[in-house]
Amino acid sequence: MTLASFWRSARAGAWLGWRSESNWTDPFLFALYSLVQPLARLLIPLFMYLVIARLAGGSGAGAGVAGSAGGTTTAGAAAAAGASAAGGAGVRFFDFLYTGNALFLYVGAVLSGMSWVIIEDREFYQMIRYIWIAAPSFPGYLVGRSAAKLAIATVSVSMALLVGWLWLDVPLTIPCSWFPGAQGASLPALLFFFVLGLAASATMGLGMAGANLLSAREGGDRSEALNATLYLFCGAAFPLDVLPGWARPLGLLLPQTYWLEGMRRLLLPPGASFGKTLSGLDLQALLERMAVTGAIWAVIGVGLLWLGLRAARGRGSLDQVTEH
Amino acid sequence: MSKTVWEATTSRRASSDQAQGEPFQAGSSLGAFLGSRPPGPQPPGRPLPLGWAHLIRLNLRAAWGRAYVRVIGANRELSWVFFEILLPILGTAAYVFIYRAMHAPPAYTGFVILGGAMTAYWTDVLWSMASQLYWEKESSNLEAFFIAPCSRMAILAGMAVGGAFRSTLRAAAILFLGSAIFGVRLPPANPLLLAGVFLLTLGALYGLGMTLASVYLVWGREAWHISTLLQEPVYLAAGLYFPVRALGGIGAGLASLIPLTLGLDAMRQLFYGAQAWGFLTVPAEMGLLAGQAILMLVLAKVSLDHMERLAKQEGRLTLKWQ
Repeated sequence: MTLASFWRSARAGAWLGWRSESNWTDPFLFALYSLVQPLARLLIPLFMYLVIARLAGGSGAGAGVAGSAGGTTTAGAAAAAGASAAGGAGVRFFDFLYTGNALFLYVGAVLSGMSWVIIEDREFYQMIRYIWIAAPSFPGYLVGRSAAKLAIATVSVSMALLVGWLWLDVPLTIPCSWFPGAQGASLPALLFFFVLGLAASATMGLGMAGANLLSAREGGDRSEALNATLYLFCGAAFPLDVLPGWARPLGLLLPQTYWLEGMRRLLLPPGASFGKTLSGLDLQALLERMAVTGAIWAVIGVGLLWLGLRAARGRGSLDQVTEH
Repeated sequence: MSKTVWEATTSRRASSDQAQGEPFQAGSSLGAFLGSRPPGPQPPGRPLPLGWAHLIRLNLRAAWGRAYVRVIGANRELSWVFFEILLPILGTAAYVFIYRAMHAPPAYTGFVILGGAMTAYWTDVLWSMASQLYWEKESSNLEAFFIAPCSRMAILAGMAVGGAFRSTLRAAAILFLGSAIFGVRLPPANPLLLAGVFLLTLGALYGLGMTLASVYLVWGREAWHISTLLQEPVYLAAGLYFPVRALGGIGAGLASLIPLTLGLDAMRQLFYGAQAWGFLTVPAEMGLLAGQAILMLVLAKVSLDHMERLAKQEGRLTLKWQ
């Protein structure tokens, strides 16, 4: 497998993925679908936050959270925010929560998207045998297919962050400088962090795709379970300190933990790190840990895909239709 | 083949029933009554020997046959059971930890666990009721449903009863495990009222599922996406993880169109009283749920007939991979 064949398969997979993802309805419903679901996922924690802010500071607090000018917090919101170890000046717990949830949409899109392709092509459209025959690189095809989901997720995440910035006073700051500024933030650092984190999630997705080659349709549930596990342990919605002691090391084994922490530090003002577990690590340390854990997961993911393909072809089940 | 399969089948069934002592009754045929006879003129000769007793028994059998797959079959595959319980628990745990990060009162952990348990019903309604006829179409089973001499409503009712049973097992497991893991003890509540609210909620919820199933009959791939679209936004609107009153009067009022919203709000009020920050009073919510349950069942029948006709007219009834 050469890089050229990988790229060719990825490009064809991306085109097919986009057609398959988007042509089931009219553009309006498609746009609605792409925005409503992720926004709903983000609004659940927002309302949870509002309810607790109301409890902490009376009825005015809830309004204060959503409508506080310039990111200042009311007594209620501050009580709720401060409940989980202090963030920096002007950064509320809600900002941490919202940004983490928004970025986590990428993880779900890449990871579940890539592994779901197997179920979709094999069980629903029954075309995996033709893909296998035609695509010069099967992993390349999988990566390409998930690119369509990544594109949709990019629209969703961008919209979510825009809504947060415009209406919910999430103090987002995109570093525009080419050279490191406060906390080492720079545009190259942001892009590098972003791409490396996505690559780490993609390799996990390849592993799940390998596992799905050997399972029936319930393989989709396994991908969802992995997604939910990552959400629980990687600190997307709450600091790792909130987890019980035995669970924190699990979070430290996941590249997404460092990715989300780093992305938050790059997108929010200084002090956006809530919790003590990761506060001692600077941006470079986060990057190093993400690279190491990502490399370990990449070996596992690619290995699982290789084993899955080998076993499925050996059993003759590569193109099985299980109907259950 | 002048003697149709339909005629042969009903004749065989009639003779079988006669052998079992079923009274031979002349009159309107079952096929005509149910609207499931193949098109074309009524074959001349003797009318179909099927009466009301047979009709009821046939449809109960059909309902049980469809429910059996969910009551017994779905619990045989332990990996399904495991993941169907694990997934909501993982989601529930994440929301519990968010509340803990905000130092919310312990009652909110209970709210989340109750909401997490109810997700089992909503996912069942979406993926195993609403989408079911779409799945059957994709796997070529739908034709069998339509040539069967029973009412389609009996099949949908069987799906609903079986699905409610299966989801209750999962919801109980989520409730038990969630309570054990997070050390939550639900406060005592009036058991009769609680059972009433619960049953009304299920009635309205599965009635909605039956209505949606008929709508999905004419859909192709969009069925899958619409189910995805209705999952998390409904978690939000129904206030599965927070009191629905937080959405405001208009928001909560609109969300009350989903039976899950009122049912969960009433159950929380029964367990937690004023702490639940309820939207309406429990009797009002029970009344609305009862109304919704009746309305949904009527709507399901009307919608099923209409959508079936539409699907046939457009030639999409058994069209796969649209």
